[in-house]
Amino acid sequence: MGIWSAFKRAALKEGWDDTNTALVAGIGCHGHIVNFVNLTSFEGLHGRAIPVATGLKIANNSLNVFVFTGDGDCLAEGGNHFTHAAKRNQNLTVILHDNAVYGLTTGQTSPRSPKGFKSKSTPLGNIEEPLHPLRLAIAAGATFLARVYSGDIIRMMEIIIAANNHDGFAVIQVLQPCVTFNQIYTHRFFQENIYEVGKKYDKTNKIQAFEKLMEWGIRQIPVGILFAINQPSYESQIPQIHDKPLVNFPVKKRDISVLYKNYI
Amino acid sequence: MFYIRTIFNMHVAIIYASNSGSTFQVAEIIAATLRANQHSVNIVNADNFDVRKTSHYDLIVLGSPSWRVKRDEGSPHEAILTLMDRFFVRNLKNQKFAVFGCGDTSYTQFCGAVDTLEKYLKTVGARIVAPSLRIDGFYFNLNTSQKLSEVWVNNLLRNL
Repeated sequence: MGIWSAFKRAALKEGWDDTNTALVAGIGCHGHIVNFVNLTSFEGLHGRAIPVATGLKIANNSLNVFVFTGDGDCLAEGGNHFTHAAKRNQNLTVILHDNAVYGLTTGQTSPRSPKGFKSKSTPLGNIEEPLHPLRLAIAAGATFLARVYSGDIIRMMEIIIAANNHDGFAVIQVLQPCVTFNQIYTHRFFQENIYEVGKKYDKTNKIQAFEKLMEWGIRQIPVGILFAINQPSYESQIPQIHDKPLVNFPVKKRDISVLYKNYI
Repeated sequence: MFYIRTIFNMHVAIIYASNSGSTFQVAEIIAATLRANQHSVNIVNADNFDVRKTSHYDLIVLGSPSWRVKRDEGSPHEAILTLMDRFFVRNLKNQKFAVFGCGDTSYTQFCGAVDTLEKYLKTVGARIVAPSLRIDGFYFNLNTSQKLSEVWVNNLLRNL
């Protein structure tokens, strides 16, 4: 609800509507967003929001394209797509609902669940260390990384706007408590342990960003824009869509019957 | 001769705690309505309120969601519970307060936090200036919740 509120505020402030914005979601609790926005939206297969968003953006690079995904959707099934979209620096804004659990399927350990986490799939406690999406994204080549707590609606709105304005692959890790299935990463946990990176923090310094992203723990969860650099996005390097979007090209009808007959 | 007593230019603090953001958003609506009535308003998170400044305010509006804290369902947010401990009780006597909360009637202790705050304020001798505002299902009834909040503020101002 917090994420929806923030996104709605951002959309109203920036004038995002059905003529200039599209939204792609995967499968998870986050996927319900498509039912609560009045935008062209696509809820696809589990883990496959990014490929659909990729196609949308290349077909019409004038659109603001948002990917709504979750920690299970994005980092397990969708892991490859996430890594390669970051590598390509595709001009997408990924809003990653990180509740560190598979919530829609009623509480299984996800790639973000902490070590020791007890759930229906790890009743004796998770023996794995969690994946950290922003570390993965920066190593793969993403050029805008931010983290925000879902209860901070105003800050989330600001970051969503900044991420969309960034030309390149933008990932926003939203720390979103699942009150039903995750009793470790609760609202109070985040309220007590996050801190906003200060004005002196240099978000263009990649090494510093790597170091900052290694922080996670008690009173040690940095939030804010943690990394942002300008590098050509994937779409900006495709000359065929430099002057106008692909959808604006006329479709030429050609008679291929002669060619066809060569093969049958 | 009739005198119409107008309350204006009050210095109001809205102290809130929020999880999913609904209580914060109601705080914003209350603040906007108060400001439209020419009052100055500070919205402060309960974690950050300086209790030494309690008496600087003509009115304090307290807002909390109702969650299960430890074993108590319908409890105020932890930040509000801490605030209740931090207040200098002697400074609360006759201080004007109003209370609001967001909740869900599908739970047994709907807006239990509001009940707790009302009891606490009565115990310490504070003055609750209006019946409390209880919002049901804020995100599912956005327009209604906004209207209710605005009407509540206007009624509160009439009560003062």
